[in-house]
Parts: sequence; structure tokens; C-alpha cells
Amino acid sequence: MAAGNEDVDPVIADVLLGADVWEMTLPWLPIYWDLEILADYRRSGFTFVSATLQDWPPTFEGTRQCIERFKTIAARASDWLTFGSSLEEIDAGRRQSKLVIGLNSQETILIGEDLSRIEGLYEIGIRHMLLAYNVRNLVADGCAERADAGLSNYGRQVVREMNRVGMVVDCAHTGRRSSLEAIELSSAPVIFSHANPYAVCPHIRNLYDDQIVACARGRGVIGVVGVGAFLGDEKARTNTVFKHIDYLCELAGPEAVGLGTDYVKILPVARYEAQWTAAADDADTRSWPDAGNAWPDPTGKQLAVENTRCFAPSQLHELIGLMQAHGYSKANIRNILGDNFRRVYAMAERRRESARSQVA
Amino acid sequence: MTDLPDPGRYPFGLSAQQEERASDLHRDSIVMDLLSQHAGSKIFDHYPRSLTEELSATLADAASPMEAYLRAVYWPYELSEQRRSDLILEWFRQSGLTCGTYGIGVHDGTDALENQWEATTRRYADLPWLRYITTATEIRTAKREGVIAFYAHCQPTTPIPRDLKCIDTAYAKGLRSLMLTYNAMDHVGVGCTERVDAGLSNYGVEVVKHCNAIGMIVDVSHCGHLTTMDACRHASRPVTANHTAASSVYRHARGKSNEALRAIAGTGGLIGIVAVPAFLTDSPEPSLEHMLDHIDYVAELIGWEHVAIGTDWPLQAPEKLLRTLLSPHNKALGFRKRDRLDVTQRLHGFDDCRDLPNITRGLVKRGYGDEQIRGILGENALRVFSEVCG
Repeated sequence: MAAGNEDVDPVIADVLLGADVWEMTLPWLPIYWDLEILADYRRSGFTFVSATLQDWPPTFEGTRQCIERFKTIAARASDWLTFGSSLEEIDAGRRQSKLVIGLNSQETILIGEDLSRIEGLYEIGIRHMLLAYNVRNLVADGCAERADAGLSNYGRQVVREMNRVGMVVDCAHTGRRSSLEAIELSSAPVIFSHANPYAVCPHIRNLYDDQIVACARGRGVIGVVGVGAFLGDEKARTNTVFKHIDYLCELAGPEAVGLGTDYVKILPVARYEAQWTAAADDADTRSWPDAGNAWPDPTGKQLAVENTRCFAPSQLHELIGLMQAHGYSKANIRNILGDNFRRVYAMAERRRESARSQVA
Repeated sequence: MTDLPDPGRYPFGLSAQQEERASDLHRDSIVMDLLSQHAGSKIFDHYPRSLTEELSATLADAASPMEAYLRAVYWPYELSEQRRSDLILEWFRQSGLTCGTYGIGVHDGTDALENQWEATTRRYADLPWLRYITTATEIRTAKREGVIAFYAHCQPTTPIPRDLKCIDTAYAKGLRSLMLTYNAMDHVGVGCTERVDAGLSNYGVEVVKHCNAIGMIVDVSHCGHLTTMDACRHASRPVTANHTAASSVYRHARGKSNEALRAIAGTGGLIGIVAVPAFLTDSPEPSLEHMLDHIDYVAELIGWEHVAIGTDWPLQAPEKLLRTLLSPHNKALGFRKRDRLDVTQRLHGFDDCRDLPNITRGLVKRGYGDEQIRGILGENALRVFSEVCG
């Protein structure tokens, strides 16, 4: 347990004591880099944060460089911050009361047509990867696409290779049919690291009930996302986040729910406009579709991401309190906080071990 | 086969009068091959041994199968440029071809192979008997002046980049016909050998609209069904499938359904029929008659005004290279076992470009009128080219 939390409600402190508390998605573009944000996570009781550390649109080499750059910065805080991808590393970090940073990729375009790059990404610590980010690629359709395509022939090879390597298949931002097919095909649990139920908030980024049920049946987990636009609450109130959790628990059971808040500290983004513009100039935007393609609003009722705020790490205690108030057991709260995603990691690691022993 | 007829003399059993009519028509018509593969693989059997030995050395030296293939494709032109052999020109003259196509890529400059393809293409721009063109008028002029015209078509084996500006760049380089996908799914649309069928992506819709806006022909030859239908729905100018077949005649992923054929015709577009045996028939003795069956069917279904020729065949590389190097490449290109693509197989009656007159003779045999034959040979394509590209 992190220091300086003397005023924490003892019941909440009891839940957090020794618990795995996992944040499955922290978008960690260089413009967001601020160790104070990670300190907030740790103070609030989080033990593990899966960060997206890559250039955008992501390239293999750019991702590797981005990770290295941030590792240099994180080294300044090595007394409370560490990197960890395997459960062994993650557990070791928690035992030392350090916040552990894990890695994900929010696209597959960085592997191109080279399946061996999946192993390459695994080797640099990436443990879950989105099949597509909003728009179609060689692998799958994105959630923003007008035509709902399934997995391509190549996409099926990618899923099988991710299974073999032990990389968790992540269908956040992926199209509906592609995600359902990935779940059906995958021999390991598939996750939606950060997505909410469409039934609670209609948005292109959110999940239909069939996706949620299929994910849970495969022992996968859905991380509730804290972005106001996807919550349907521009203020990202804790109670709204709880409503999404509660809906998922009702529909899919408490073993299928987790947290993937996608936290960006300063929204509205307008305040960061200068930095965004600079980042856009910097990035290889030549090869990326414009915002209209990637973020359409087919219903005309979506909140704009940049006009909403995010559920902050500091709201965690309030969220735990709400779950307790609604009769969630300590075991189930811990499942939601981290044990469920931990189970998925454990299954992927076992899958990798067995694939390797078969080769040997 | 040992009993090959002389080039352009497939035994249709035409009367002397019919032969004369076919010959006149072929000579006087604009003859367009919307997906030409140059002279074909047989040309390599007709060079003197000293030259082919030189070629073998060049091919052995190539870094990849595709590079060897490209070297082979352009080798006959290279010999002509060096004034060592004009065989390819002689074959083109014999074929009666007015206008063919060559391939360039739409890319962001990072694909080495695509760059090489273009560099090679540019090298031959100096051949006096060959002219790269970008307008319909230039095609008529080429016919009048007796030079062979070529325009650029793109088959995006590397997907069209996610930036419309790359299309503008390719247009500036002369590209006038852009196929939306190859066989696989990409960020534009879904290809025809995919396990899934889906429409254009959001970006794909923009690609179609952009092509229409700048005067680029939208082609759907390798696209899957729903992507083909979507392209027709969103296009404001004629859409082509410049090398395909009718899947009602022979069921194959590369063929188009009746619904798709009607949709393409509905845009005022074109169906180019291939001379690729695997796409036309599973007969053990594939012949030009099978190609003509597809032409008949499509002309009957959507009107002869929408029919054209896009042979795509035979590929211009020595047969041994095709067999050993390119055949394994089929898988990487998205062709599956069930697509039964044999890159060395040829239609009886269409062995190389010198057999183009056989198509005219076949159309005569099947009772087409002069206007219809001129249309199918080139005027239909010229109409679409003129409408889209000017």
C-alpha cells in the first residue's frame, strides 16, 4: 500500500491491501509524459498500469524507440516505479510497493505482413495488442468503419500467432464482426482492454451485448473506460463509471469486468492544443486517415472526446465504495480491480509455455 | 501442345469472306488490351541462344523472384532500346495492338520494388515505337501514326497508402486506372479471395470519390463482391473491371456475379474479359472458345457496349522462371489452392499477343456485327477512357 493514505476508509483500505489493481490502458504519448500522473496512480492504490508507448501511427521501430525513451525518464523514479511484463515481474514490483508499467500496442499495422514481429513485440515487453484502431487494416475492421468486415485471412494468422506467442488479443477499437470472429478463433481469452457497453452509452467505441457475452464466455475481460464521451457523461462521474461496471456484471458476470480507463489528465484537449498541433506536425500523419474517418458520429448524439473529462485515478476509492454500497463482495471487487485481467495474463503465459514445450 | 496453329490462325472454320472481314476489322479498329502482359512468355523461345544465355545470367543474379520477373518483363524492350533485337516490336505489329497497359504503383515512395518497377518503366519511354499516353485522343493519334500506346494501370499488391495525396502523385506520373484492392483485405476494401466479404472502408469511399474528382478510372477487377458493389454505388463516373470473367459461366473468385456485372454496367463502365485459363474454365483443354463464352454471356447480360478485352495473359517471363519462381509467389499474392492458378497454363488459341486477331476472328464466328466488334476491341474502352480521363 502506498504511503500517505492514512485517511483512507479502513474498509476500502482492506480491499486494497495486497490487491492487484490494474489499469489496462494508459495512453502514453510523449506529450502526456508526466511522472506525477503515475504517482497519482500509485497513491490511489493502483499496482499495475498497461501503457501505450508508441509513435502514432505506430511503427515497429518507433514503438521500440518510444519505450526506450520513456524508460530513461522512468529511471529517475526507480525507487517507486518499475517496468514489468511477466507476472513474475509484476508481482515482484508489487511486493516492493512499486508501480509497475506494462506495455500494449493499439494497432497491428506496425507488424505489416511479418508475423514474426509479434514475437518481436513480445520480446520488448508488449503483452496485449489491438487488432485494429477504429479504421480497417490488413487484419481486421475497426469500430468506426461503415462496413463491418470480419477478420481477413491474414488476420486469422495474426490471432493464431498471438495465441502461440502468448500475446493477449485485444479487441478494443475493433469492429464488431472482427471482434466476434477473433473471440471464436482464439485459443486464449480475448479482452476489450478499454470499452464500455453500448446499451448504457451508444457510441462507436462501445460494445454490443453479443460482444460482451462472447468475450465473457471465452473467459475474457472488458476494461471499463473512463473517457466521458464513451461513458455518456462529460464529467466522467464515479457513479456513471459504476453504472457501466454494474451493467457488465449483470450481463457477463463479475469475472469478466476490469478497468481500462484510458486516462488523459487534461481534458478538454483544447488546453493542450498547441502541443497537439506540434505532435501532429511531428507525426507521420501522411499515412493516416483524417479524423472524420476515424471518429464518425453516425447517431449525431455522441459527445466529443475533447469536450469531456476522464475518470481519474483518485476516483478509485469512491468507486470501490460504490461497489461495496451495492453489495459487491470483496472477492468480486478484487476481481474487477485486477484479478480478472491477471487471470488472462496467466492463461496467456501458460499458453506460451505449452507452445514452447511442444516445440522443444 | 505440338499441334499449335500459326499465330492468329485458330481453326474457327471461317469462310474466306469471313476471314477477310475479320482481317479488315482487326487492322482498322482501335485494339485495346486493358490488362496487357506485353508479348507473353513464348517470346523468349524466339531469341537467339546467345541472347537467352545472357538473360539467364541476369535472372540468376536477381535478389528476389519478383525482381527476376521484372527483369524478364522488360528485357525484350531493353534489347530493342539497345538495337540488338526488335522482336517484341515485330510481335506487337503482328498482334494489331493499338493500346496496352503497364503497371505502376500508388505508394509513398518507401516500397523498393514499386520504385524499381517505375524506374524500369521510365527507361523505355525513349523507344521510338512505344508511347505512354494519358488521354483518349492520344490513343487515336498513336493508331494513326503506327506507334504502340500504353497507359498506366495500378494493381495494388501493396495497398493504396492511407493518403489521397499519393494518388495525386501517381496521377501526375501518368496513372489513369486504379484498382481498389488486390486479393486480400486492406484498409481500402476487401479482395476477392478473402474469407470475408465486406464493403469499402470509410477511406475506401473517399478513394473512389477522389479518383472520380481527379479523372482516374476506378477499377474493381480483384475486389470482392460487396466492395465491387460499394464502388459502383459511390462512383459518379464509369467503373471498370478491366480483367475479370463472369462467375455465372464459370464459378471463380476472380469472376463477377450477374449483380456485380449489372452494377458496373449501371455506371456506364466496362468488363474486360481475361485470357487466364483458371478464371474461365476448369476444362482440361482450355481454349479461346471459353473466353468467347464469357464475352457472349456478358454481352448478352449487360450489352456489348460494356464489354472489352483485358487478357492479363500470358505473363512475359520464361516459362521456367514462371514455374519455379512465380508459382510459389501466388500464395503471397492471395491466390489459394482452390483458385487453381497455373501461371504457365495458356488458352489454346491465345498463346501470345500475336493471337489477338483470333479474338476478332472469334467474334466474327459468333455472329457479332462490325460495330459490336469494334466496340469490344477498343471503342467501348475508348469511350470510358475519354469520359473519365479526357
